[in-house]
Amino acid sequence: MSYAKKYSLNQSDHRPRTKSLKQKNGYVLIADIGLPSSRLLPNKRTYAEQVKDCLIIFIQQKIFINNASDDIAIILCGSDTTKNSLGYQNIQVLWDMEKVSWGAAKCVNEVVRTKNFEGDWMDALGVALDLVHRKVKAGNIYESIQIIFFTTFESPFKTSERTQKAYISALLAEKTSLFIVGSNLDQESLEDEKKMNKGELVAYQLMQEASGAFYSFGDFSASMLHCTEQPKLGAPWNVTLDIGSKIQIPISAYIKVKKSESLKWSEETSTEEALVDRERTYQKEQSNAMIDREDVISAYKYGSKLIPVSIEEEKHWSYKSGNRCLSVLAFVDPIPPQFGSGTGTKFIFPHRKAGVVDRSAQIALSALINAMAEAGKVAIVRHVYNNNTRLAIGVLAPRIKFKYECLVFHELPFAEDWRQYEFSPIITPKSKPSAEQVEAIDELIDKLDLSGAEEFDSTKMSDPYEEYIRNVIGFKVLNPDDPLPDIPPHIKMNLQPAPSLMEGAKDVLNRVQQLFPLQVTDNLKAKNFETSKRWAIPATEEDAEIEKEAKKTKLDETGEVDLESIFRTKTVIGVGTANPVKDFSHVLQMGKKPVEEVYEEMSKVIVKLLEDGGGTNAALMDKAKSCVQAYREHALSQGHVVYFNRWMEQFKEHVVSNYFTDFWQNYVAKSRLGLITKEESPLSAVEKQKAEQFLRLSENVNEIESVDEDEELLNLIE
Amino acid sequence: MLNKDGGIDEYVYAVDQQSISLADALWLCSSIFSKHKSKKDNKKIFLFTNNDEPHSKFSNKQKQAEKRIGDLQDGNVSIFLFPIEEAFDTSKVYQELLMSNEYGSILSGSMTADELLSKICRKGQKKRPVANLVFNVDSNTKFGVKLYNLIRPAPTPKRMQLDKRTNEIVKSVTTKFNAETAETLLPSELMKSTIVSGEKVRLDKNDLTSLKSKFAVGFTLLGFKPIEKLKFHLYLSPASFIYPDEDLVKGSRVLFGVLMDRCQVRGFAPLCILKCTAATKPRIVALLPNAEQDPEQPSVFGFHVIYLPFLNDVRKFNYGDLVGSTLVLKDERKYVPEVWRADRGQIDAAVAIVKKLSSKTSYTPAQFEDPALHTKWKTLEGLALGREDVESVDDLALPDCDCIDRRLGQRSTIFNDLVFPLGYQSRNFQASILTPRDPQHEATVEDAARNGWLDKMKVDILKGYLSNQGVHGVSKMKKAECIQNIKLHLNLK
Repeated sequence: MSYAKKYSLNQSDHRPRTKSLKQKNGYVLIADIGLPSSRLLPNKRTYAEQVKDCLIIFIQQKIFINNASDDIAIILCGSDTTKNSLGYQNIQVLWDMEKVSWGAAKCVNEVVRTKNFEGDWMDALGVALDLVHRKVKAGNIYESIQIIFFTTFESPFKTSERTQKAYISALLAEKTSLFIVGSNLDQESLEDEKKMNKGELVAYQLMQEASGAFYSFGDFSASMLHCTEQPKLGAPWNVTLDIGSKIQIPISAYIKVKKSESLKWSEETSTEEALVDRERTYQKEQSNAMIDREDVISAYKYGSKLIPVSIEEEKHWSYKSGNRCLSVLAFVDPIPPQFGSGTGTKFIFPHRKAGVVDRSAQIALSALINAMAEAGKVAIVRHVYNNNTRLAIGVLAPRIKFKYECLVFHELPFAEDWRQYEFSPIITPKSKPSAEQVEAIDELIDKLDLSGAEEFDSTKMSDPYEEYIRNVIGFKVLNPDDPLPDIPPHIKMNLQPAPSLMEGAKDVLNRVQQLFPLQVTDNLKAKNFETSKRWAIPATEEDAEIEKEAKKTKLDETGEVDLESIFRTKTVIGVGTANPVKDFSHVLQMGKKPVEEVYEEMSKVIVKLLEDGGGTNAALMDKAKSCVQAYREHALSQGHVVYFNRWMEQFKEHVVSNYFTDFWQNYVAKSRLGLITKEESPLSAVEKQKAEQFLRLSENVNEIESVDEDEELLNLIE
Repeated sequence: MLNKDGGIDEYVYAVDQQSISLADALWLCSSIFSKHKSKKDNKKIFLFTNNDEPHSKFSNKQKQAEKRIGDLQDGNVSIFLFPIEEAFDTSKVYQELLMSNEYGSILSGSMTADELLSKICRKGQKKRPVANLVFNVDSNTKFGVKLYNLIRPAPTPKRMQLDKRTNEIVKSVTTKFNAETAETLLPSELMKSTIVSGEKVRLDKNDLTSLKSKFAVGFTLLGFKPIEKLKFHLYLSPASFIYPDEDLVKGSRVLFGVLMDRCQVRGFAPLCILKCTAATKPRIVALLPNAEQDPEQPSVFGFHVIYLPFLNDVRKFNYGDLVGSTLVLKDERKYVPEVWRADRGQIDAAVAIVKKLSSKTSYTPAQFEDPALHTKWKTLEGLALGREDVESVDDLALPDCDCIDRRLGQRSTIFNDLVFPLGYQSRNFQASILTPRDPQHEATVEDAARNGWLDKMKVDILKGYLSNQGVHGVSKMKKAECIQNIKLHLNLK
């Protein structure tokens, strides 16, 4: 029995749906933070801490659903402050019945902890009813009102039959339901009223009068966390469904399935919260020379030939799809699900205008839907969304339910979109599996059957990534300076097979492991071992311990996570910008690649570092310097002197033309990382003097370089 | 022979039957491959021949050829044999030569030119997996799979930018700068922010991207479900395909094979969590076993990966609003809505139509070519080669109304008479189609502009006019902006 289910039951309209008013719900949360809340729970948290978490989760979820239009009030019972209009002791109205906001979450985060007082929960209920009453009197209309108690009913309270009666009539008058979370009530104690304490008994009686239910902390937060709002009906697409030129059925199509959109993120500067402006400029690909926008025209490539085409010309000759339409091309056998294309599904209903359904259209559509179902056929259609927009072909399949009949539309691929690769048979006469292997897999299928009592259905699950994003945002609002939280366990749970199912399949899983020899190759280890390890839940507790220890030692050695130890397990395949010097020596050591290729990679990294830093970022320039240094040292020691010198000259040219002069003067020249001279290596033909000159930057760079080239030539001739 | 740079390499080839050597031809191939070093490319040899026995079985040349083939295949070169003659006997030589490993294959003989061309095209597509992933059966058992996307929108010719004066290629560079101080910003100086219920949340760019990578990449088995119980009518996005990957985990083939075979036989589909790459979010997928062996089509063995929607992806419908119904007294107490449905006669009339227009062949994606893409290809080809007129493209996705009307004959009239009341005209559509962009409005709009009546005209007519005149960004304009733009266009104040 989940909270969500109960909740929707309660929702069943006790007030007529009024279109003009925004539908909102009202919630009053009463949290007992008096003395008894210092008690420790089995999970080693105090009762008050647990309540605080629940409150924050509740507020957070209400912010993300129903457009954050619900009203919420928070009442603390047993607080050190007394603040309520009825003058009850130790009852604090922390948040008056207002639109839900982050402010409430922040407030809870700051205030809620055990206080050394005791509050009367009946008083708190009275305050809650008073709040609701005044809010309703002020003209607010709620679709539902809920009072949610977080208490164990251990503090003393005063009650009389009269108050109880008054409260019950107040609850009924506003159609308010009462929920109790985290009490000691359970199914067992309900059966025997003697097992309940006095407070529980009274609360239970109240709860039975008003509609309501009770939950454990776990059930409550789980149902809150996975509570997702389903997107609503969008705008219809109106068109006629044509069969030939004679038959035209007016229809309205609605999007049924489409990838949900995440939150929109905008860019701003990191220092001050200033907006970011963008400007697009045009540069020649080869010389990087800027050119005006007016001088840019579009073109296409045909082989290596460039064909300039103006937008107007292109508009003139490009394909015209014609009027908006949904026209039947033919009826065919049902199409297998792998042949879907496009971005989602539309359901097609008879045309509806201003809320009125066209009866004739519905009859016509119904006849067609039923005919297709009887003949076992689906329709292939031409689909043009609007005049001269993209043409698509699609399929219409009949769907007949008790409550409705409709056609289900999705797009189909064109011939060009289909890649017909060949995949040869996997089981060949040579590799016939053994009878045991077949049997084991059969049993695995039986044991992991998801169509049982609680059928698995993805459309009842909320998107785990979106849930995580919400979690991160909620966390960031309350702790802006903390590092991002990990994926919370309740989301991880959704990304794993059900533990009970896996437990039942344990034996057969072990058999599968034994019957199918599988050997992980180095490729896999290199590829994503690290990422999977970071996340994978250790199979046994022992493993978890070992992993923990391993992590600890990693941390202990240097006080921070030792990057190297992580890198060691990865195979470095090329020089990257993250750790170029290490990569460089590593790749060279492995000797899998020709030296020139590694040099090439290194030089690309150097250039990239400079470009990323814009020639001014000290850290990146320092990195680039050590790269040049490593490169030079290696070239010198391995006798690739000429190669290096040639590169150095190109590099200088690049540095000069991009105005990275600061880098040249303060890093290259200062550390004397220029050409390798005759003195350093017998393979070099460069005089010391020339190398000195090379390191200097003059106003007229070109001249020097041309001299250099001449000298080089001379040297070669010699 | 054409080389990669567009020049022509010359090779001497033998004319007489005796001196032909398959080994030499293959040697030439390998020397061409070694000349054009490019690591990522797939290397393929298409061997066209009508000679099913180039060399006698134990001759020297035969041995040389065998060795060459072995060498090439060791170097990851695939060899495809296209037998040209009907009586081509592959068992003589080629069967043994080529079929010993995955790098060789023989296509069925006796093909027409068209068939040959389509087969070459198919072989020419690079079979490149999107990702190599681990499939976790549980924490102890994992095998490797290659993930392919068999259906994805075909790439259209890419538009590029040129300098009008010199025809040099131009790239566009976007610079970002601070809107207040106009300073240029480095990537490290940017942050991402979003506003949720009045509260601004700021995240480091890298942090934001790292959120997705916190989920593990790969498949995680959740369990199995009978195929008929899956909701395939809720289509979300194009499917993918998986095939075992021995390079990742040795032994994958056997486990994958048995799993697929049993699922196929018993009509079950494995359900998994799939996270494809670091940048995608985890999704739930159903795996459909596929064992297709049609001699005319390439064989396809493996699982189709069907993406299933989450709750957030499915719109909630109140069906009562979308279909009409009449309240009917039921059990003498309650009024129950009864959906309007067609009666037997009406359905029969529709069945006649469906049957008449039913195609005997079942659908395959190969049936419809994209006319927009073909028009583009043909036109660019025409422009490039300086052709006067461009070949027209057949639009196969255009319904042939005459043909349909003829086939249906009286059936359409019967259907219309049965379902629609006399003189029924759907009031809502007939008029609206294709008015806004009609050229005949052009004169009216221009007239109105000169006389200052523009604000009395409908927005979509104004927009239609503007887009006909080649103005950009029309769809986002407000009416006032449209009017301004029209005035600007006509040089009016």
